Amino acid sequence: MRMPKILARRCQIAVGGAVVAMLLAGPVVATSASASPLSDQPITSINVQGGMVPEARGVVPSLNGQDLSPDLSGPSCRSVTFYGSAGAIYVQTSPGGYVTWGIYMYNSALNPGPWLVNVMVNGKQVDHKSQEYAPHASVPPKIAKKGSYFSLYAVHYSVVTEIWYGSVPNGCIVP
Amino acid sequence: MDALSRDLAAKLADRLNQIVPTGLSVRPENAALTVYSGDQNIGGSAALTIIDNEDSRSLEEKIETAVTSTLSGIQDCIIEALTGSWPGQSGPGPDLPLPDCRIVGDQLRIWFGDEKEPVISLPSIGVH
Repeated sequence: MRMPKILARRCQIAVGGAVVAMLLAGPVVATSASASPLSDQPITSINVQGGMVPEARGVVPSLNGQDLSPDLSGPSCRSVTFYGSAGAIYVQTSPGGYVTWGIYMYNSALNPGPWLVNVMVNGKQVDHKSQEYAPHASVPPKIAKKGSYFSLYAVHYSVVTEIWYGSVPNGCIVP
Repeated sequence: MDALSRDLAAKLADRLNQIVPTGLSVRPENAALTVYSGDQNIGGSAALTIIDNEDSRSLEEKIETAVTSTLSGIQDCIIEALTGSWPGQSGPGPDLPLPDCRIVGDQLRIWFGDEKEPVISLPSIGVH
């Protein structure tokens, strides 16, 4: 039976929070194992580069002009965190094949402000977010098929720091 | 092209407002759909803008992808607002009925659940 989306959403946020705490508490490690709330079996949660980084003051990053070529050598989307210097992108895949994702600044006070996100599968855009709070969503298995390359392009303006942040190229393979 | 995404947003909002729970509403804002609880914006989806992209996909494929993503985003918002399943009855039991759609001829068919036995179907939308 497929896990209801709301449960997957809650698990994703909880897992994301735990990873953020770990990143803030000490040096980043290449990988860390954790029990997945999305499955009865423990899975390995992977941390790689690709999260949110600040732009130079006055520089506005763009979602256009991104390299849309899918890189088929990425990690699994089962449970992966793309960390940047300012924020992280969390991706998990439920047993039913739903790819859930969320993007959060490490300092939650920096989350308010415009967010623009392009959700890509195999280099093609499949979703778009334009909102004033930290984005999270899920992509149905019909769209993010097993073996496809999932990636996110995000830009965010923090009304607190008054600078723009952009995502570092990232991507994973849907399990 | 963007006229199509805006028109589709308006028609989707009209269909969804026939089935969303009391107290919630869906409003079209250009090519985006936003869910409101009363007058409070509780989220939404701008996925219909995909239709305006120029890439190797057919228009039909982009419409089906964009509408499925939009409905999934709207479903997420409503589920979070209700803290329960939607559409259909809340509580443990059968799988959550997932949104899906398909273009047949010049009509966009939309449903939640299994295509052959949907939990709910929305009135079709003309797309050409």
